[in-house]
This record gives sequence, C-alpha cells and structure tokens, in this order.
Amino acid sequence: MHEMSIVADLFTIIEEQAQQTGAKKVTKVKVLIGELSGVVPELFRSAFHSYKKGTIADKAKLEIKVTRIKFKCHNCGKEIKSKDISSPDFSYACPFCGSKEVELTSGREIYLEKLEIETS
Amino acid sequence: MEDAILFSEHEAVVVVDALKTGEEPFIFKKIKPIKNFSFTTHAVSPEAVAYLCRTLYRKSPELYILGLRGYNFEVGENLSPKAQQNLKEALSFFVKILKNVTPDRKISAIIKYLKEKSLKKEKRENPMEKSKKEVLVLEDILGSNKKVATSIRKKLEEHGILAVNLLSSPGSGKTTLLEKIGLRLKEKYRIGVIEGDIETERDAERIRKLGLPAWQITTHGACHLEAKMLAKIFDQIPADLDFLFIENVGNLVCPASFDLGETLRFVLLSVPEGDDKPKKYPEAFITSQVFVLTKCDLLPYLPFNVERVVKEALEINPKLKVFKSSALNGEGIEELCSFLESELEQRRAKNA
Ligand SMILES: Nc1nc2c(ncn2[C@@H]2O[C@H](COP(=O)(O)OP(=O)(O)O)[C@@H](O)[C@H]2O)c(=O)[nH]1
Ligand SMILES: [Mg+2]
Ligand SMILES: [Zn+2]
Repeated sequence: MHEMSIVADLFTIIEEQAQQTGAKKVTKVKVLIGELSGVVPELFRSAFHSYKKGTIADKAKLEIKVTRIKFKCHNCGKEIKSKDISSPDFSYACPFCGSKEVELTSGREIYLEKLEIETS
Repeated sequence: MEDAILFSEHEAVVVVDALKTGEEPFIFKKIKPIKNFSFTTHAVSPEAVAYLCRTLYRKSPELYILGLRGYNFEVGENLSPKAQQNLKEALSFFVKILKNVTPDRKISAIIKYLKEKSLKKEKRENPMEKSKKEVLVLEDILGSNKKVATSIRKKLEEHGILAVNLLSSPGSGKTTLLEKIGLRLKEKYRIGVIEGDIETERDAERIRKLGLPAWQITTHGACHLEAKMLAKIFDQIPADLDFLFIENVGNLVCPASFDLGETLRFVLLSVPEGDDKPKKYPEAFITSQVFVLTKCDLLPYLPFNVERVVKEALEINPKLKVFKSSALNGEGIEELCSFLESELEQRRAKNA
C-alpha cells in the first residue's frame, strides 16, 4: 500500500500550489493515474480522503482519470494504443512493423492535473 | 436589395426569424457579413444582405439574429404551446435590450451589462457561492522522488559504482541470492548491500556475516524504498565501491513505481510462486532490465512451465535478460556474476 506515501507527496504539491495561487481553499483535485502505474485508484481514493483532514483541501473532491497504456515505435514512428496488458494477446511490440524497439509513452504516470480553488 | 438599403440606414439590426433546429427557447447571436448568395434563390441570408449593404453602401451596422425555436412549419398551423412559450421568453429578453438602448450604446455592450447584472443578482441570492477558479498544474506527483533518484544516479556514476535494485515478493530468495553473488564477487570487487525491510536488521546481519558492509533501512510500515530514504544513508556508503546491491522491501507492486537511482533493476520470481505471474505484475517486469527465475532446483517437484513464464515476461518486456538460478545447487550464479562484471566494465569504459 504505497498509495499513502504518494498521497503525501501529492499534498506537498497541493500546499505549494495553494500558496502560489493564493487559494484559501482547495475544493477539487484531479489526478491522472496510469493503468500501469501500480496505483490502485480505490486505495488512492481512501488514502486521499483520510489524508485531507485538517489540510487546505479538507473538503476537496477527488477526481481520478485512469490513463491507458501507449507506446511509440522507434522503428516506424507510429503511436500505439495498447490492448489491455492482461489480455492474452497483449504484446510489447509494434503491431504495424513488428519492431520491439518501442517505448512506453503513457500508462505509468501519476500526475496532479488540476485543482479547483477558492480565492475568497 | 431593399433589405440592404434598410440595413444601411440603421446602426444596429436585429433579424428575427423562426428556426426549425437549434437551441430552445431562442438564440441570440452576432453575425458577420458573408458573400454567400445567389440571385436565383428568393431566400437570401441576413449575412449576405449585410455583405451587400457593406459593399454597396459602405455601411456595417451591428447585426444580430434572434432565432426562435419553432416546431410545426406546415402552412396554416397555429403556434404550438411550446413555440408560444419560446416567443414569450424571447420577447422579454428583447424588451430588456430595448430598455437599455441609448444612442451611444452598442448592443454588445448592453448584453455584457445584462450578463454582469444577472451574475451579481445570482451572487446576492447565493452569498455562499465563493469565487472558484481552476488551476492547471500537470505536475508529476513522484517528481520529488525522481529528483532525489537522479542526484543519486549522478553520484553513483561519478564514483563508477554499479547499483542493482532487487524487486520480488517476500521469500523469493533475494537475500539468499545476494549472499551467493556477494561471496563469489567479493574476492575481486568491493561490494556494499543496502537492505530494505519494514522492520528488523535480520537481512543486514546475514550479509555482514559474510564480511560485507550492509546498511539496513527499516521503513516502519512502508512497503517500498524511496530515493529519499537512500539519500539519508548515502554519506555512509564508501565512494570506492564497485557494486552496490539494494534489496527492496518484499513486494512486487509498490517498489516498481519508485526510482532509487539504480543502474540496473532485477525482478526475481521464484518457482513456487507460479508461472503466471509476469502479467499480474507488469510494472515490475516493464521497468526491469533483468529477470531472475530463482529456486530452479524445485522445478522437478512443481508443475511449473519455464517456457511459459519466460515467454510471458518477454511479451511484456522484450529487452529483459533472463537468468535461471538456484542458491541451493549454484545454478546460474556464475552467469549472473559474469553478466554483472561485464556490465561494470562496459559502463566504466564508456565513462572513462
Ligand atoms: N529451494 C530453494 N530455496 C531457496 C532458494 N533461495 C532461497 N531459498 C529459501 O527461500 C526462503 C526465503 O529466502 P530469502 O532469501 O530470505 O528471500 P527474500 O525474502 O526474498 O530475501 C529461505 O528459506 C531460503 O532458504 C533456492 O534457490 N532454492
Ligand atoms: Mg530478504
Ligand atoms: Zn513500428
């Protein structure tokens, strides 16, 4: 359960942002979580709601967007939207040219996308 | 043509019509002159009339369309109840505009004024409604870990130390493998081991018994090592090491998300865990460079398909280097050690 320590880092960023923007309150937090990030959205959610108590985001809603796996092929340059990794025909290779020189471009991210704040 | 003359004689023109489609109850929008007419049709659009007006009379009145949403367009139909309602609303809106018209006030200014007024009214009625704002952040939540990891990686590179981060479930044989590799490499190289555990110094003590320096990090509950935990003890690590092994907390999920600044990542899977695991733990396999199948001495006793597990691991990550090992009978230890030696030499040659 590493979600708690990720949520702790998230709140460090939230506090920084709140200071920079002069927020009195943070009312909504939207995060992007890659399906290959190892983060379980449900666990993240419960970690978030227990951590937020007493912070500037005390009553904040949490919105989680799960981002899909994407690859880029270094051989033919194509973008590949991958099948579900648990599906039997998942392959870490380019379906267009067969090259295995592919790089994961999306699916591992754990990002704070945006905040909704109150300034007065 | 007559319409164009009419347009040219006014500062503002509002064209009112019934529309078969579009928003209910009505639309009110600004339109611009467009050259899109043909003289064979009797229906010339207001945009086209405005175009004629501008070209022929050099006049550009403010031009709006007030489009009422209608429903029955057959000849002889009366206004349907819904259309009547739309008309009523459009009329009250239009009267508001007319009331605010002055010779030097444009319609656009009136509309802006009316909008602000209704917003203020809303605020008066809803004093709880605070001014909300959206802030786009787009920041990596693991960014602070990555920063520390990057600085550790830089230091390791400067010292020419090859660091290996070992990931596996509890009991897959990380410590035992490190004991075997340590014994074999310590004749020729300087080795250090960092042991990550939730509690106890036990694994570090096992390593120290071999005469190797070991540092224990206890996470007190956390199921993974983070770069900043390493940074805290980094000063104690001698700069003249050749290999630094980092045994992560036993867990095949969480440690995968945390870069420690390591040179290579090893993922271990032991035969008793089953041959269906790689796709269950994709992040660990995708982020590793080496896959070690441990406890291969147990293969004769368990239904375990080596081919299947290797195929599945390579499907997830075709660049994985695969080793089979046994700490019991020594299988694969030699191969792993020569791999590590050649990696160290290659990297030092490259950075020299
Ligand atoms: N049969 C067999 N058992 C092993 C092997 N390596 C380790 N073990 C046993 O597996 C258990 C867990 O090993 P350990 O190295 O502590 O695993 P760790 O939790 O990953 O560090 C111990 O009882 C070891 O004796 C092996 O290659 N073959
Ligand atoms: Mg151990
Ligand atoms: Zn390709």
